[in-house]
Amino acid sequence: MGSERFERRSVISGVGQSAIGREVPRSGFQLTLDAVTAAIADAGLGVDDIDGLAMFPGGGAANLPGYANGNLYEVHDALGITTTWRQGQVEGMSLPFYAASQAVATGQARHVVVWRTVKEGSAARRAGGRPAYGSTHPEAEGPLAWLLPIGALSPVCQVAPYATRYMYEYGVTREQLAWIPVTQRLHASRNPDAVYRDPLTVDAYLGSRMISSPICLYDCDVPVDGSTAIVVSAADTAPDLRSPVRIEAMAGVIDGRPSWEQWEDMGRVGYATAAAMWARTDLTPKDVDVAQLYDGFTIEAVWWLEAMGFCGPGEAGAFVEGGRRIALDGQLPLNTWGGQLSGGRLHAGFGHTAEAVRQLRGEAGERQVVGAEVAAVTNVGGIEAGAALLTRW
Amino acid sequence: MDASIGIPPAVTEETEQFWAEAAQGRLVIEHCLACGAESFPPRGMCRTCRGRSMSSVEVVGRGRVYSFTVNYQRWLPDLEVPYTIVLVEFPDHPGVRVIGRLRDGDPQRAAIGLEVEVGFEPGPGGFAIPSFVAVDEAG
Repeated sequence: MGSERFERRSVISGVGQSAIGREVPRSGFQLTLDAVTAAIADAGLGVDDIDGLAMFPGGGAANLPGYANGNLYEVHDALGITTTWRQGQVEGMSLPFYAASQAVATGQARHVVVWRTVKEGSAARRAGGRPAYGSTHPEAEGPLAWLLPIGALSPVCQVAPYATRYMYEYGVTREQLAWIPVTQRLHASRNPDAVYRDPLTVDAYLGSRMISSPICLYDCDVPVDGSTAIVVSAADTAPDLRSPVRIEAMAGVIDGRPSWEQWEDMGRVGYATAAAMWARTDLTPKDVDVAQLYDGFTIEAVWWLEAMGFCGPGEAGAFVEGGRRIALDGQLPLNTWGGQLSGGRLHAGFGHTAEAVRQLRGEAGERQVVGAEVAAVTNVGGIEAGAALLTRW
Repeated sequence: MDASIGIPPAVTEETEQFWAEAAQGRLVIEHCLACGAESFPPRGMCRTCRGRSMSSVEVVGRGRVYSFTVNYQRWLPDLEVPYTIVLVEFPDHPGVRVIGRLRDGDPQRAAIGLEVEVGFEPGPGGFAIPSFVAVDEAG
């Protein structure tokens, strides 16, 4: 079973979100405060109970206009609290709650708020389209120095070769993978906070413009304005909490080259992370009632369907075809809030985590999966990866 | 097609030689003086033996396309599209993969396994960027 399962000494106690939309006419800072205060109230806690803060990304990571908002110290000052633990970046294990779980499990804090705020919808509108990656800088630095000069100017260009390779190796088709965005759009129609709720058909998907082949418009998540906050608490505070959710297991492994273009096996992503996560629980893929799998692009959800063992390698196309298995009443309801493809790019697993918590509490409204007791949450996949199981209290 | 619209690389201690050689039409990768392993991109440390004494070696043989994408989106004003981005591996240099463009030609020609010659073309900021040429087009 490996190392002690410290994550079970922590719970997710609250989730909160601001208004979410293609353009929300509020500052990123105000959206952050809306989400943070909502999450604290959702936990059944008061602001004075909070003694830890974390955000994604850290201060220097503004590679996209509108990417980073909600400065940690300004939020800290606004809340007027004392903290014994802080972190400027939570992507260390690529789950929103990973570092916070460590903090509360080791007694460094009792209740930690973690947030992620994006204003990428407004930024895209201002730029007249989704801006180039790194276009806020005059020169391409670090890993981007190999990508931007040759014209790989967006995460789409970075991820597209994975989809090309995957489809080549396994013979999976766009007609099959279309069912992921199409089915998630159907889920979004039941989510009043989703940004795209009108029906999407396979034909409309196949007819949409190509962005970076084989990734088309509807394979890309939707840049939005919005903030998500999550409260992570020590498990022994449960009597003080309104409706906590257990963290059954979590892991984040990088077992390949942590570079978009250097990752060795582009047909297989996330396997080591999923294996490490499953090694920390007696539950199996068959026990999962609802899956919130990262979907910055359709192909990323494909990675996780296979890596997590919901289907075999190369089987995701057949698994999602027709949409029945991943429907709200199917064997594995997928991204029940619409995912980032229809719900909005809240990024870094924050939207996925918020939805998992709501499903396990039975608070997901029109899109509630009946009897949801075990939820899978994953984030990114290659150069950074995280996978977790959350369970009903 | 003009590939000069875009964002130039920041040149660092690790990458200075790569870009200088590229300007002369040579693709160089790192070569470890201790164990002989080759690697790309340059890190100033051997990924195999962690040695810090690195030299460089030129890639002269043909490569094969590991994967690719044809980019249609105009991410920057005046960017000429579509263009093909290829990830190229080299039978003579196992473990080395270089990302670049596939120069000119029909985007529909791009394919996994396509044999290519090393090449460069003018990129942003006056830098020469890797730009591979399909073997049968190279003649």
